[in-house]
Amino acid sequence: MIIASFIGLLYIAGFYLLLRRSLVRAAIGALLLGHAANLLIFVSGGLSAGAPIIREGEDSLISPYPDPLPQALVLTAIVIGLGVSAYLLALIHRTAEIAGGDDMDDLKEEE
Amino acid sequence: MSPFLLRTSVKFIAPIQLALALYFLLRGHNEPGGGFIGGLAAASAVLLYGLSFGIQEVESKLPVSWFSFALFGLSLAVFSAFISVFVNQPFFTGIWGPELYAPLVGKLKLGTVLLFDIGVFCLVMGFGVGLGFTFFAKEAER
Amino acid sequence: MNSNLLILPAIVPFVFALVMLWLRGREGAARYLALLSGVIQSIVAALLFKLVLSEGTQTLEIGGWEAPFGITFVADLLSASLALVTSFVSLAIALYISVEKDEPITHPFTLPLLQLLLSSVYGAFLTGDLFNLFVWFEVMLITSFVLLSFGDAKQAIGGAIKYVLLNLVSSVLFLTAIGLLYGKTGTLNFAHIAARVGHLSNEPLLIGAATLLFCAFSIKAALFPVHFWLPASYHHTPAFVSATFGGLLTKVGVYAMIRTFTLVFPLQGTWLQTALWIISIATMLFGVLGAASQMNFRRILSFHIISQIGYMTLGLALWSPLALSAAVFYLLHHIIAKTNLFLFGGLAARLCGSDDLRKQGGLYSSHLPTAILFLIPALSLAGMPPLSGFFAKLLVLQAALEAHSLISVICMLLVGLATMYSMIKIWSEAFWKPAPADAVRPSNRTPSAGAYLGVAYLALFTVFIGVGAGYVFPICERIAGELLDQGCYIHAVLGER
Repeated sequence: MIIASFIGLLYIAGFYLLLRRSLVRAAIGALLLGHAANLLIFVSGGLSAGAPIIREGEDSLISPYPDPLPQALVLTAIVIGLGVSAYLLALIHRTAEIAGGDDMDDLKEEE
Repeated sequence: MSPFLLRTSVKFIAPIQLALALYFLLRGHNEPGGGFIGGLAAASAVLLYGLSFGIQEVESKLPVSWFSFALFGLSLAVFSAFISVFVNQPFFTGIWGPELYAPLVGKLKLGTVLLFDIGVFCLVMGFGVGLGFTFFAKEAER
Repeated sequence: MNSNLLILPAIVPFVFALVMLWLRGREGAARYLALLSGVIQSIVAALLFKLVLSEGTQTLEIGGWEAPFGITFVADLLSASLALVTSFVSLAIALYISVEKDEPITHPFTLPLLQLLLSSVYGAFLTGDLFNLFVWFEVMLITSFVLLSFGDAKQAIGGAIKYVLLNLVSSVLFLTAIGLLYGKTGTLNFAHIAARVGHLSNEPLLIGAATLLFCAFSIKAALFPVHFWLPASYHHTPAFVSATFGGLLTKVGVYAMIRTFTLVFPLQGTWLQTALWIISIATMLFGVLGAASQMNFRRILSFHIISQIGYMTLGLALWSPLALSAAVFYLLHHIIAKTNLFLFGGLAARLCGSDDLRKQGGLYSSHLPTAILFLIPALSLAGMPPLSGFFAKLLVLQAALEAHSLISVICMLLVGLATMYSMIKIWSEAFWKPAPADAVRPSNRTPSAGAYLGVAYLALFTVFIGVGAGYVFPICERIAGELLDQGCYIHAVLGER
C-alpha cells in the first residue's frame, strides 16, 4: 500500500514537472517518471524477502522468493534510462548554450 | 575538502575498487555480480581518480580512448553472441568450456557467457568514464 | 524451428555500425560499407521472406531459452514483409549517399547511427516479446535523438527537445503498461499474453494496460492529438536521415499497434476501437490541413506522414479482413513512397540551394529525369492509378464502404483531394514554375548517378506494388488472415502447450 501510493506520488510529481516550462524541471520530471515505472515493474514481481538464487547443494528455489524476471527487466530499463538521461542532460546543456536559457519559450520557431 | 586528503585516500581506495570490480565480474554468472555491476564499480574508481588528480593525468597514461574501450567491449559482446551461430545453435546460446579454479574467486566456468560479461564490463566502464569525464571537462571550462 | 536467419536482419546493420565506428573518421569507407550493408540486408530479408512465405511463421528462441521464458523472435508474414521493405529502404538510402561530393555528412557518427537505427527497426519488427519490443524502441529513439540533435540551428534543438520529451513520455507509458501486464499475466511474450488474456479480458488492470499501450503507440505513430513533435523535428536533419525517419519510425509505431491490438488485445468491440476510429479520422484531416499551409518541401511531407498514418489506423479500426489487409498494403506502400519523396526533397533542395518552395523552381526544364521520377511517388501518394497509392486508398475505401461508415468515406475522399493539392503545389512550385530571378544557385547542379539510382530503385517498387497489386494483395490478405487468427501465432510460438 505504501509502495503503491509512493509510486502514484512519483507519477504525479513527474508529470507535474514535465509540464513546466523550464527544461531542467522537465528533465527531472522525465527521470522521476522513469523511476516510477521501474518501481511499478519491480513490484509486479511480488515483494518477498530472499534472493531468487538456487543455493549450493539445493536443486530448487527456497521459498519465499520473488519472481526474478521483473528484476532483470528493471535492470534493463534502468540501463536504458541511464543512457537516455545522459543524453537528455547533454541536450539541455547544448540548448542552454545555444538559446541562452532553459525556458521552452526561448525555443519558439521563428518563421 | 583538502585535495591532499582526497588524493592520499584515493591512492588506496581506487586500486581496491578496481580489484573489487574484477571480483564482481568473475563471480557474476551464478552469484550476484556480473559485467554491468563490475563495469560501474571500475568506472567509479577511475572517475574518483580522475576527479582528484585531474583528467589529463588519467588520460595521458592510457594508450586508448575511452570511446575505443567501450567500442571494444561492445564488439566483444556481439562476437561472443555470434560464437553459438558458428556451431549451429540459436543466437546467444552459451557455449561452455572447462571449469577452472581461480584464486580468491573460486569456481570459474569459462564460456562465451564470460566473454560476453567481459565485453559488457569494458562497455560500461568505457561509457561511464567517458561520460563522466566529458561532463567534468565541460565544468572545468567554465 | 530455430533458424538464426530471424536475427540476422537486426544483427547485420549492427555489426556494420560497429565496423564503421572502428573506422571512425573515414567517411568514404563508411559510405561503401553502408552500401554493402544494404545489399546484405536485402539478401537476408529476402531469404527470410521466402522462408516465411513458403513455410509459415518462423520462430527463434534466443540463447536456446524456450518460449515463453526466454526472448523469442517471431517472423510471421507481416514481420517478414516489413523487414523486406525496410531492407529496400536501407539500400536506396545507401545508394543515395554513395557519392561523396553531393551529400556532405556533417558528423562522422551519422552513418553508424543510421545503421543502428535500421537494426532497431528490424528488431522491433521481428521480436515476439513485449519487453524486447520496448528495448528496440528505446534503441531506435536514442539513435534518432542523437541524429536529430546533430543540427546546430536553434530550431533544430527546439524540435529535438519536443521530440525527446514526448517520446520519453511514450516510453514511460509503455513501461508502465508492461509493469501492469506482467503483474496481471506473469508473462511478456506476445503469444503467451494473448493465450492468457483470453479468459480475463474484462479485468480493469488489463483494460488500463491496453489503454496505456494505445497511448504510447499513438505517440510513436504520431496520431492526432500527439502528432506535433513530428513536423517540428523531421525537416531539420539531412535529407537521407529524414527519409529514414519519415519512412520507418512512425511505421514501427503503427506496426506495434497492429500487432498488439490484433494479437494481444483484439480491438473488436472495445471502446478503443471507437476511439481509434475517431482519432484516425482526426489524424487524416489535421495532417492534411497542416500540410496545406506549409511552404517548405519536407515540412509538407512531414504533415502528410501524419495524414497517411490515419489511413492505416483507420484500416485497423474498421476491423475486417479487407480493412486489415488494406492497412497492411498501405503500410508497405507508404514506407517506400514516403522515403522516396523525402529523398526527392533533399534532391530538390540540393539543386535549388534551398528547402523553401518559394525559392525553388525551374527544375522541370533543367532536370527533366528528376522531375519525371518525382512524379511516380508523388502521384502514388496522391492516389493516382495505376501506382501503389491508388490501390492502397481504394482498399481502405472499399473496407469503409463495406462497414457502411459514411463519414470515413467522405473524409477519405476529402483527404485524398487535399493530398493531390499538396503534391500539385510541390510540383508547380519546385518543378513547373520558372526559377525565381533572385535565386542563388549552387554551382554544381548535376545529381550523381548514385542519387538517381537510389530514387529510381524505390520508384521501381512503387510501380511494382501498383502494377503488381494482383501479386501483392493476396499476400496482404494472407497477412490479415494470420492477424485475425491468433491461434496460429500462439501455436507457432508456444507449440502444443
